[in-house]
Formats: sequence, C-alpha cells, structure tokens
Amino acid sequence: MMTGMKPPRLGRGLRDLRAWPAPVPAPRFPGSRADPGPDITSAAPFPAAMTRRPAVVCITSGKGGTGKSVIASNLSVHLATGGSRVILVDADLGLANQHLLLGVKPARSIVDVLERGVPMEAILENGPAGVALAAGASGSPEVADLHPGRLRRLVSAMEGLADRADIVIVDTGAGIGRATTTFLYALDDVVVVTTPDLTAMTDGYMVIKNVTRNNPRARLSVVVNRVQSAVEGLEVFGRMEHVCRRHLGRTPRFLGHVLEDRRIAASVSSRIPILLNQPASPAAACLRGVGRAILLGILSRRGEAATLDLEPECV
Amino acid sequence: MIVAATQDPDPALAQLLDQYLWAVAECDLLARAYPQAGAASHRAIRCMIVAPSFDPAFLDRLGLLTISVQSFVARLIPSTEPPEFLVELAEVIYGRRAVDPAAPGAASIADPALVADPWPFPMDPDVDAPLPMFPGEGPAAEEVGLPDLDGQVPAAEALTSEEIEEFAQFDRRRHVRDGAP
Repeated sequence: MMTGMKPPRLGRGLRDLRAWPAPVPAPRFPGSRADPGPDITSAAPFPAAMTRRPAVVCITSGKGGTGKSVIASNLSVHLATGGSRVILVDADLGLANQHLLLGVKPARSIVDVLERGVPMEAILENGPAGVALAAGASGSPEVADLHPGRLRRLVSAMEGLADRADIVIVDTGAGIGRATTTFLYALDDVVVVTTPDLTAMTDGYMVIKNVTRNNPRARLSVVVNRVQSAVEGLEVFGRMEHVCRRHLGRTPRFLGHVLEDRRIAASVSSRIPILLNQPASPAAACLRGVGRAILLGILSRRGEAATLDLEPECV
Repeated sequence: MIVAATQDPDPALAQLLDQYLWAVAECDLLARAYPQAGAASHRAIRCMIVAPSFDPAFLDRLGLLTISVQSFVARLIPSTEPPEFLVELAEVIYGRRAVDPAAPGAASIADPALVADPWPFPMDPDVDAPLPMFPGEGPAAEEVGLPDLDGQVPAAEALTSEEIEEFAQFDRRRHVRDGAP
C-alpha cells in the first residue's frame, strides 16, 4: 500500500475543506496597527461558493474565567486564516476585551450602535489575519444592563453584517444574564466553554439547560478548556453529556478540548492570539482542532463536503 | 489509534497499548464524543504504529500480541515541494506476514471480556440508550443566519439538586481517583 501523507501544516488545516472559498492573501499580522491588513470594512467581492447568509456561532460559558474570549479570538483567527471572511462581535457587554486580545485600538464600538444608531458594519475594525472586530463596550454599566428592547435591536443590527462575512463569531458574556441570554436564545449555534472545575461544569450545564428550554432549535456544542490531557477533556464532556442525556433528553456535540498551556497567558499579555504567536504550541493545535470541528459542522449542515485533518499535537 | 515514533518504536508501542486499554474501557464515551467522525461502540479499535524504520525483532514481537497492531514505515521524499511522506506497510518492506485485523486474536471493543466498567459510572441501558443530538445534526439546513427575535427574554431556570449532585459526585470521584485532598 502506498499512501502520500503531507507533513502537518500549521494554520492551514482548513484549506483541506473542499467547497470553501479560496484563501485570502497571507495574513499581514503582526502589526495590525501599523499594517491594517485587507480593508474588510468595504464590501469586498463575495466568493461565488459562499452566496448564503453567514453562519453565526455564539461562544459562551456559564462562569467567567473559562477562557471563552481567548477561544473566540483564536477561532476567529483560525477561520480567517483558512480563507473565510470572519467578523468577531464582542458581545460581552460592559466587560469587553476582544480588542485587547487582538491588539486592536477600536475607534468605535457597540456603544455607537446603541447610543448613536451607527450601523454595525461601520464599527468594524481590521484585526489580525483579516478578522473584522466589532468591539464591545468596557466599563460601561449602562451598556451592561440594557433594556431587552435595545438588546434585541443590537442583535437585529447584526443583520447588517450578513453580506460582509462567511462566519460571524459572537463572544457573549458569561452566565445567564439578560444580555447574554438575548444572544443565546436568538442564535442557532451555541458553543459552551467549560473547564474541569466543578463550578464551571455546573454553570455550563445551566447554560445548556436554559438554551434547551428557550431556544430548542439551537445546536449546542461543548469545548473543554484548560485540561491536562485529552482524556480529561473527554471525561468532563462525558459527564456533561451524561447529565444532559438524563435530564434534558438531548446530547450536545463535542468540539474538543484545549490543553492548559502557559503560553496562552503570554499571548494574552502580548496581545497576539496564540495561533499567531505560538502556532506550534499544543494549545494552538487544540484550538485549530476546535475550529475545524466548528467548520465541519457548518459545512455538513449546508451539505458541503468536508474531510477531517487531525493534528497529533492536540492529544 | 495511530502513534508515530520518531526513533525507537518501543516507547510508542507502550503508549499505544496504554491508550488502547483506555479506549476499550471508554468506547461508549468515545462513540458519543465523536459520532460525526464515525466512532461507534460496536466498531473495533484499529491500532497502527508509524515509524521511519523497524527492527525485524520488533515486528516479530508485534506478532505475539493478542491485539492487532499494523506497522507502517514513513519515509520523507525531499524532492517534492513541499516535502511529502511515503507511507508503506512494514510487511511490504521487511517481508513479514501480513497482519489481518480481523484474524483470530484481533481485539474488538465489542468483545465483552475486554470491556472494563466505564469510569466513573456503569452504563444504564435505560438511560444511556442513543438519543438525538441537538437540532442541526440531521438534514442540512438551507440557510444559516440570524433569526428574528420576538418576545421578552424568559427568566432563567435554576438547576435542581439532583443535577448539581450529578456533577458533585463526578468531581468527588475524580478527586479520590487522582489522590487530590
């Protein structure tokens, strides 16, 4: 038997997925401030293969500190590096930090959408790898506790992004507060990030339970972050799946695990996502695996062909 | 299950066997976690080891195992751009007997004698029967996009004591197993 096997290609796994738009030019990151990268705020020509509305993936968690925002930013970078037009919406109202994680200094934010009626697409900022960031508001209690009507208006404003992205990643706040659940109950793809901690698991399950009750059409997935091994990730998912099965009659999908890696903290400090800062690290390999799983889910729902491209580092 | 050895394949084989034992015990969990990848509890676990070369004695030892481990030789082809690997069955290169995964002695996770009790709880057929995934795992949707929003945001539903205890029990067992205080 003769089989050709290419060596691992860091950050290029998504290109193995057929029926996906051609890759964008090589990312210009680092140095997003000095080199703004492609101008995603203008209406770029739409790839012929992607004439549908964008897939919207909501990244959430039951409690803070699970690494949700780091996962959201790195997933955005990974998907953008693979050739997708990605918009990251920082919907952690009041405690937004995606601009810090991506090394972007936003001129405008979601506050402008809410307070001044600025269209969502007008607040987009160029980020690393071509990710377009809709920055959130940080330290603004008024924004953190919005009236439900204004919250719905904010979600509706995201419609303006429909012709500018293939994938929209929404980074919500943690927990089941009003602002967060507005997104969770409105969007179809919800990814719950948990850690092996008991409180993170129970709070993550609470999110799953409430989304199941109030948004039954949602596709729920789980990522287990900060694990010591792949086995630990599977065990934690197994417990969550077991409780969901027993009490909710449904089972979430497992997107994978992310290994505990101190280089993540270093990448946060440097304001460069670990996929760009330390692409050969185990955590980066895990994040690419999670990104592939998300993309496979999107493509399979659209009936488009896809193949698995596993990386040995993530186990 | 595939392990790649860069030098001595013996440690890689030991690692493979450890992982195999875990996978046999947790075959149901693996099937639940990776249904989209084709994992199913009735399917056998195939073990493969890939290395740049093998000692013929190592291949002989493989043949003594009660589970089937297929060995492959991977060689770099530097003349291609980018460089590619050529992967061949070791038996083709070394002239050993072909390994038949379905031969007697080949292990299967369906073999009840090899399946240990899953950790941390035994299977309950009434509870653990296959259930559908969340919506969206079935037929492909025509469109994926932003839905309309109607009505107020409902009040959150708290966890029951039984649900909390499910996680607490799991956490306690895990700490006991790992020797944590």
